[in-house]
Amino acid sequence: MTEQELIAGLLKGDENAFKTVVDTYKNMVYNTVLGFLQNTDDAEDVSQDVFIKIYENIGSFKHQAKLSTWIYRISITQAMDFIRHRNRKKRGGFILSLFGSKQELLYDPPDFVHPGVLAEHKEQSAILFKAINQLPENQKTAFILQKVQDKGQREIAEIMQISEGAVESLLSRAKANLKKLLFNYYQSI
Amino acid sequence: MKALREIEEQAAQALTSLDNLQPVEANAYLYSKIKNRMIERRQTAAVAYTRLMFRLSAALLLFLFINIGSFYLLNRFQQPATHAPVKKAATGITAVSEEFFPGASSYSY
Repeated sequence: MTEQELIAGLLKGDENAFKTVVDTYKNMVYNTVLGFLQNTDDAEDVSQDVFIKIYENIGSFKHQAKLSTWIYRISITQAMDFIRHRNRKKRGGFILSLFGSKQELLYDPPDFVHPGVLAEHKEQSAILFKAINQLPENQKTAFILQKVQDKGQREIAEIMQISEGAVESLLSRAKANLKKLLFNYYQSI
Repeated sequence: MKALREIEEQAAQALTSLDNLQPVEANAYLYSKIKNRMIERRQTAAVAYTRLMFRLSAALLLFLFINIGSFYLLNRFQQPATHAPVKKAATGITAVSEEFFPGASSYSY
């Protein structure tokens, strides 16, 4: 089935088309969400929500971008919403958010070892994931898309709907911030 | 205390630890799980809608009964009172004037 046929099928509510979309994009969605949430159970839950959103909102898909790009955007939004929701629940963040309090630091999952990391890098990657959680949202998104999804700057720019230059700047700031955070961590132990 | 160079090396190694990351396989039964969740959501939504409609109709019925009931009750108890002749409270002086001059208010020429 081509992308156009898939979209047409989804618009008609065709279950076969939906099954094909799930089978085609499930790994992509799951890996993206896992990079943000760093918890396999939460990632599976959110992946399910992503596909339900796709099924329900296919009517709002404008053919300006590829279907995969649109699905990436939904995955990122859902993952971020999940983190924000957790943060709000954790520390009465709703009241804090009214006063413009930044909440990137609040979502603090336990040490996460990504199942796809090479055995010799497991410990270091857990430390890196902890540092990634402390990045601002847009830097985190750009970094995860590059490192976890192996995306180029052009694709990241399409997904995030910003210019390639902005992506480059985000990535270099993310790396600089991570270097600082990791340096502080290794200095403290 | 660690040397600055050692710390920098460790940080750089950690930063590259996600290189060559292998993609993870999603759950093979993801589609069935999604279908179940969609059915569950639809059922929950239908139940919630029915409940809301039931509550709204119950509230509407209650409102109607209160209105109709109060209309009948007020009519039953207030009807004789509204049609009864209104008696003026008689003061001493009017009682005397009515007794001695019964047609005082009507002039006959």
